[in-house]
Amino acid sequence: MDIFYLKALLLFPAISFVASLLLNKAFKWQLSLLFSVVGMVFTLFVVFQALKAGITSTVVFDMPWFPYMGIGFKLGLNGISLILILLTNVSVPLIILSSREHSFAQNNYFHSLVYLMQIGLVGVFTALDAFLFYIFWELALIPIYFICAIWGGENKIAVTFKFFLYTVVGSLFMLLGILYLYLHSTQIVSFDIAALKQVANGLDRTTQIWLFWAFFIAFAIKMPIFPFHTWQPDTYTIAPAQGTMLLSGIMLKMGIFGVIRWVLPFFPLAVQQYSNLIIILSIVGVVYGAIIAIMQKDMKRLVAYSSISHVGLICAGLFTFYEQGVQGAVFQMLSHGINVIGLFYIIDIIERRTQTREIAQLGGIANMAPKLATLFVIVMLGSVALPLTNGFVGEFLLLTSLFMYKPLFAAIAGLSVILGAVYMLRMYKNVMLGETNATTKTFKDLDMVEFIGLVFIALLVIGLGLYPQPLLSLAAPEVSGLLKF
Amino acid sequence: MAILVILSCLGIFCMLAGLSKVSIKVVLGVSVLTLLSCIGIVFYDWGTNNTYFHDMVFFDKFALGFSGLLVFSTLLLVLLSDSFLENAKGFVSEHFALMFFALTGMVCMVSFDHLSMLFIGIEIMSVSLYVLAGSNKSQLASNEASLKYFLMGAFSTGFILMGITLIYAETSSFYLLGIGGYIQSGYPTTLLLPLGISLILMGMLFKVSAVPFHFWTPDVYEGSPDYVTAFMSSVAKAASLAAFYRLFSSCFAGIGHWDTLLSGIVAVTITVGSLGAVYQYNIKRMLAYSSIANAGFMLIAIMVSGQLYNESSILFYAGAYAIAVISAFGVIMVVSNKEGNDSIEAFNGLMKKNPLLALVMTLSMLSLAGIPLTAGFFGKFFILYNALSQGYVWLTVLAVINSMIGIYYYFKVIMAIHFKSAENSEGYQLGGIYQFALVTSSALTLLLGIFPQLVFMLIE
Repeated sequence: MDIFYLKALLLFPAISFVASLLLNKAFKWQLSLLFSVVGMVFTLFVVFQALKAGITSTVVFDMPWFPYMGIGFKLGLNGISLILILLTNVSVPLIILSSREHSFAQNNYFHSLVYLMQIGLVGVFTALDAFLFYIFWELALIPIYFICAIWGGENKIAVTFKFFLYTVVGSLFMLLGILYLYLHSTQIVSFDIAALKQVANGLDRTTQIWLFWAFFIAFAIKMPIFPFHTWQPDTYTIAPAQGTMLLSGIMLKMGIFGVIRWVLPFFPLAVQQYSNLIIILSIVGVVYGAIIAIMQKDMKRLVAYSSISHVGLICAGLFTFYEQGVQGAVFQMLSHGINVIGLFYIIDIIERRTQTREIAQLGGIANMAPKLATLFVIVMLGSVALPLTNGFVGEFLLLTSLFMYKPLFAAIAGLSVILGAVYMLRMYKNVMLGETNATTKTFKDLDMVEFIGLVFIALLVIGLGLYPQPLLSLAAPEVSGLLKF
Repeated sequence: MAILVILSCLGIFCMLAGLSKVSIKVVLGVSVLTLLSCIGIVFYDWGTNNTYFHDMVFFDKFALGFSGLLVFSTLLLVLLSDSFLENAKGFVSEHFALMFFALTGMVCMVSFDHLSMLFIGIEIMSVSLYVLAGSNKSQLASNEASLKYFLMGAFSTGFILMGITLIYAETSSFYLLGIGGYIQSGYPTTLLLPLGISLILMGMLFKVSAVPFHFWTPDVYEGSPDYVTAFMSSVAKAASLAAFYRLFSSCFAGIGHWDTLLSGIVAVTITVGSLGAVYQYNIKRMLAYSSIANAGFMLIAIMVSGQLYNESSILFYAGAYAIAVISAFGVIMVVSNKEGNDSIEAFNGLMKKNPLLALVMTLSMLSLAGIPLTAGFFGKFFILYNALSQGYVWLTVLAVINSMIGIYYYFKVIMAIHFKSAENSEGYQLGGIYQFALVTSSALTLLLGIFPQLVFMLIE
């Protein structure tokens, strides 16, 4: 792997961001889409290169940034981060495509914010310096807060502020943890993640436990894991569809990635002691999210709660510490991102045409819109993890690891697949099937652009389900490295 | 020394220009050029460590760095004088004369090496500020602010003077080195020394508006004209803190228990400042409480004065804070002028009315709240890092909690700007120079937030 790829991956969103600022009002969605598609194609190219050559070691780009305190601008690319960058850079064009009909996509403000967030996300997934990681972590938060609070729905200011405070408070805990590690480093005083890892591994059990919670809470809020999830359903519901896609599709993965990068390798003693508790919390979240999703009347809220359920499973699998669990988590991050973006896109399309998301008010859309109905089925089946879809691969691996850990846990978590089928199919039945009513009578089928976007998502759902091996092998070296200590 | 002479000449020039009715454009032009030349002198003198006036002032890097900051901030304010000039009635040149006199005093305060210079500096600054606070004489609030500030300020200056004499009685020296040497030499001291230190401490705490000497701040900030409040809260604040730092880090470091006392004061100051700001609806009062909280942060640097890079940290913090406050006031002056009130609601829908003002204000609030990639974040980070490595864990945690509270009230302004809609949608027109000054200060906030080593490279 060439170091040039790494720099270019960060440069693409940066260039798009600058272009969106400079071109001002002329930067409408068409231009934005062009920029982001170029970035996506480049990312796919990098992934193919990585697959061809194999990515066994981390590619590192290192430059001093604030040498007085040992802060470096250090980026690194490995299999897991490449998969997450792939998710980010595939999602952004889809999100921009889906924004087409919204008035806010007609000038640069929205697009600038999206690109700023993309910079932050790619930065988080590649940063190898703790301080840099924190900066990118916060950088990803500000734009999404603005997107949700400016173009959100009812009661947006209070809801988004709750979300903002939750995550900022969480990440301050993380910052304190980082500073603690930094101040206790004896040999090399630097914020380099590898150096801090040495420090953390040398700490005694009690200290590790304190730091473990400081970091884990920051990540648990981002994911969110039960009981830190209270900001999530409201925020997802009031956010504009594109904001929800960014939040659920990509930003949530920052939390899981944080666990992989920080919690698991840094505090082995604490992880040993608390993995059982975390798995239980996650499984509570799995069942809780699914049960509440069944009772939802609003489609967006339903998918929001289903997201809690899915993320819980990912987190549980991660903490089993089996190769299947970690592999499944990495793969499921990607497929959950794609599926949930597809679902929110479809909900956005339906809402724009009927002005409602209430399941009870809809019905019979399939009669009017066969293309939408077909594509909706595919995305939905991916979400309920039917075999041959991408969701199946991830959930199967995760459940296997849980079964190896404790069969009872796997049984309870397996319920979520059944419950997931219940709420998804029920939603599909009530919205798409049955008699058309007054609201859905004039429903127009997908136009060309929407069709292309959704077909792309559907192809990803099926393609990754049929042939997951390349991505699994991309992550494999990193995963086995993680489990070795 | 050249800076001191040039600045006082500039003040006298402005006064004479006011008498002879010279056009204000000329006065401002001359002022800008003079201030620029002062900045040039700072760079020219960099690293020379010259002393003047029988060693009464000592221009080391710290003094030059702060002088540069003070002059630069004043320069920004001069460039932002448009909306002040629009409303001013008569005596405009004199207003600037007073500002430059105050600036002269502040340069004395940051470069003193002899306690009488400290006192002279404080007096020159304070007397000018008392007059400036009351410069809008037709308004009751302005008169009230002036009187309050004067009465309390006069007392505190008296305390400082008394403290200086007591310390002289004990150590028989006015020089920082002499006092520090005497204290460190371990001669048995009497009660005069702690008494003197406490009196000076009280006076300085008043000047930086730390609890429990902070009560004047909200009233004076609210009552004074916007332009004067901007000057007081940015430039005067930085100067007072620098003087405080210079005095306590060199003379009284490590003796007695005053740093325990100071850590208590810091804790209360930060808490009172940020809790007070939560309940404010007036932007100037909010910034007054925020200035109390920020003073608390900067006092941490004084407590941990033995730390590595500490001088850079306090200079960085003061600079980040001053620039953020000046750009905030640059926006406040326009908005409160047009909307006719100082409330936070006046900012509703600013993004639609004038995107430039909105972005400048947003950036300045983000910097004050300490969000990464702005200068304010690194300011807080360095200070808290020093506190943490000195072992003040409880204080750091408290400061972090208060920064979180800070996010709440700074974001109230950001929410108003971006997420709320205004009743009227009349846009604002800004002059070219005004825009330039605003963009410069915002760009600096970002630049220092990305490359903080720019400041450190200068001092270390």
